[in-house]
Amino acid sequence: MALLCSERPAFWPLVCSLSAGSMKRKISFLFLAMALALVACQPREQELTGGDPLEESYRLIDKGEYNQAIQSLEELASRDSRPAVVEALASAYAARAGVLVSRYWGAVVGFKAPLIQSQESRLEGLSGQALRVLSQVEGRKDLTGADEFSKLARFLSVLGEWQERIDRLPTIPARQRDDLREALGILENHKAPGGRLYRALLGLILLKSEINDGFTGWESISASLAVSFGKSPGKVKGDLLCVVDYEAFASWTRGLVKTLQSTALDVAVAYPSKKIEIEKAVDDSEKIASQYLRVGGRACP
Amino acid sequence: MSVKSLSKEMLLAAVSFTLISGLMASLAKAAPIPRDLTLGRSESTSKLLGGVCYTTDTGRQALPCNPAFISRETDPDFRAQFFAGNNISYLRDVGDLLSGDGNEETVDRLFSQSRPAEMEANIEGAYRQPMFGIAFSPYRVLYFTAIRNKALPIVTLLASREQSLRVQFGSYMGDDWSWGVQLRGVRREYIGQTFSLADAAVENGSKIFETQTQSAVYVEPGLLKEWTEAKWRPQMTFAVTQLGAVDRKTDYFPASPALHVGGAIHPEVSLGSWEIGVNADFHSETKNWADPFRVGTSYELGVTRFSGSAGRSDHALGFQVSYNDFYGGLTYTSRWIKNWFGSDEWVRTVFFEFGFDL
Repeated sequence: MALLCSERPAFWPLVCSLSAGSMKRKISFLFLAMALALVACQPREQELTGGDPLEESYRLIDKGEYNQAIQSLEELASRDSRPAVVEALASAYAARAGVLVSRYWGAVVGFKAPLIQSQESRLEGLSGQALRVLSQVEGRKDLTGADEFSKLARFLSVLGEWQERIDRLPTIPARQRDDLREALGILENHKAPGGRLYRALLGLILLKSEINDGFTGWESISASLAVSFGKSPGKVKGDLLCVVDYEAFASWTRGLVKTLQSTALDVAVAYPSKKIEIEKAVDDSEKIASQYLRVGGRACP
Repeated sequence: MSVKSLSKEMLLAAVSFTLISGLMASLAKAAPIPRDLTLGRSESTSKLLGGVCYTTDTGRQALPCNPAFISRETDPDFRAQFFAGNNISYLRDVGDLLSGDGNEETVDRLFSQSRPAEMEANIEGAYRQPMFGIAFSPYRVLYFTAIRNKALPIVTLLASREQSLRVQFGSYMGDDWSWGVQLRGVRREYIGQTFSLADAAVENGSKIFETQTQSAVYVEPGLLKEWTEAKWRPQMTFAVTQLGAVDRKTDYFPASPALHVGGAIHPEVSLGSWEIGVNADFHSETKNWADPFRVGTSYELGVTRFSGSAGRSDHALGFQVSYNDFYGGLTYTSRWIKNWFGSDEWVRTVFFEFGFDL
């Protein structure tokens, strides 16, 4: 020990000092020096973010600072190609639109989505309304365009079936739907199945919100038909269906059909084994919708 | 030795520790899961004293933290112990969420938690005699979850079950120096993933919960220097832990060696025995220069031992009681953190331990 100290006194001051002199005092000073090295108790910056800007963005979303989160994620997405970054950006827009897990979790658990089908529907709500009109028009050979109008009513009854299934999803006011559409656009070509499933969920929320606005144009159609059928069902004019203005309704349903088809295709990415079944359902819905929409929303040629 | 030269020594010591800490901080990587959970020891003395455990041999551990203490004269002893912490209810909610059994109330409870949650438990049996010790833990479990982003929940999940075998041997070298080496083998089965709830719900989502394994072998030396003739019997310790090799690298259980440097004194008291220790441990995940340092103390009177320690932003308190061949203890730990919302919060955990000697 003494040899070491004499050779390298500058590098071994601690060891050399301990080998001589008052042991208790030296050790006390040593402990004091080490204790002073501890800074005053401060909350430890929890390494939750671990320095990852993506984690910091999650924190901003949880704090409700959506604008800052969006700004941070858009900058991060320009240089970080991780799928989680894109999904986080979409979720930030969705959060700003008011779509939070506490609002949609109840609908997600046990959700069973119907595929588009042209068969029976329930008799409640929009479905029942459409079916009641259908029951008055269907089979009426004296009414020109009755077949086409029947297809329209059946399509509307399917929309009603979707509405009942997604009733527990939140509704987003019209003024906040731009953020929701932005989120959908961000995830449109996303490859990750989880991100596409999230997009499908956002699509259903948009669908429900649009449906809840009211069946644009349909009320006037059914109201005018109800008046005519109510007066004298056997004496309605043959061209009654041809003079009804369908444009407003056509424009509204065009958007819904697009959303519904896009949602179904998102689900196909998340569940590849059901892709064929889903794509067939989308094709069926396309046929039903195009028969009506191709002729510009007119039941009559 | 003059006050001036002693001050110079203190300054050099402080500078040395600062440089070492700064070096370690510069090598630091992201480590969202606490290192002392994944790589630490699940037993009460380690929780009570933290790194100071490597400077003392005071607790009722199966084997000492620092293998250099194995060279001390002790009666041969066979021991079994069980150790566990609380926080079960939150983990049950996480399980419900991941299995799809939860409801809106489950989600509300989970997102009312503004910080991660963790749990650990351990069963171990050990045999110790002078210069040799062996311990086997057939079952150590740990659990960590963190959920954030209330728009699209992101879950970090680590669930691990491990078995370990430790062998310690050591000897006295003369001039009050002792050495020891611990050979440790660990086999882990774990699920460690970060994913969104949507990822878990897709067709192949169950792949997230596939179990992975890791086997590790460590060689962990220790040194002890005592001044047995001095009044307060000071001692200085060195130890290296987590020095070894793994068959599969993973961020959750990094092969990251740590250097422990510390010392302890035994002030004379009229009743019982008292020990005060200081430890500094350095590793690649050290972020702040003050993080390595910890102060701890133990006081034993009769059948009861009271212990406690404090670091930069956490502390632990507890006691252990022994009666005949049985012993038990309670440990209370508290960490001061900034939670997800940037607010200060105390994370408190209670552990209990029960064991017996054969």
